[in-house]
Amino acid sequence: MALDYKNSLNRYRRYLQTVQARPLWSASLWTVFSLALMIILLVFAFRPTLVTISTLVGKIQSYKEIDAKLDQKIMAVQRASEELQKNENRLSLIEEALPETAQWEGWSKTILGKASESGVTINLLTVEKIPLPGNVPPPVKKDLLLPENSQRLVFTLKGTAQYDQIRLLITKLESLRRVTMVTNLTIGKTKEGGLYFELEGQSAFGWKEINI
Amino acid sequence: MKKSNLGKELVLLLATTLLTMASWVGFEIYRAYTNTDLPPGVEQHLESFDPILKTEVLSTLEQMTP
Repeated sequence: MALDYKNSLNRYRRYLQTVQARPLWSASLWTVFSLALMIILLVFAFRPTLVTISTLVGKIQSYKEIDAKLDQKIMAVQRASEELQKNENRLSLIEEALPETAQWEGWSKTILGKASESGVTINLLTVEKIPLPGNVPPPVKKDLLLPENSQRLVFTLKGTAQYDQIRLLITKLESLRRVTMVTNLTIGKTKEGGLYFELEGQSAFGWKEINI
Repeated sequence: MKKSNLGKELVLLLATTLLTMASWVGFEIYRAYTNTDLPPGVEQHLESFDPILKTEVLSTLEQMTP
């Protein structure tokens, strides 16, 4: 066994000596060794190093982009803060137009006040489902003129008045700061010859998720 | 003559293997460069927003009756 090993080693040595003697073979052998070494180096040495380097370069690049975007966002936040401070005194108007809760007590006073200013006589004011917590009506869909995703306070006013007074009441209701719209109006004659009316409308509230 | 052919074939085989390996390593480097995982939640913070307040809405509200 040991002899076989020595014999084959001698044979290989002789082969290498013969090969070295021939220039073409010598060149070819060195090429083969070089290529094999390059493959080994490429797979086991260069690849992990280069992959690590490129990962780090990629990360640095993306962090630079994030940094630039965050700088832009900080600038935008600062500008928004300035804008907000500039208009701070007027922001209560939004709360007044679209209060977080229905605030129906104040709302009913306003409605009745406007009716009184218009000169109409209110016989009945009905509010559908008083929106107490846990009894909030579904959000307004896009087909209505009220802000999308807001809640609505549906009301009905019944009373007697002259035609001009009814028109004035509608104008006053629709020019209220609190977002209100008249959705339906029925006018008819009373036995006495005057006019009765039935006005249906909606007011919005719940501003938390609304974009103005 | 036969030995010479064998040497050439071996060189060719090693050269193509080297090319394949080089392209594999190249693609892997490219993938590592482009596929950088951002920390979770960062994208949410990068969303841009318009800092301009639409004051015309406030002006309209001011004109309406309380």
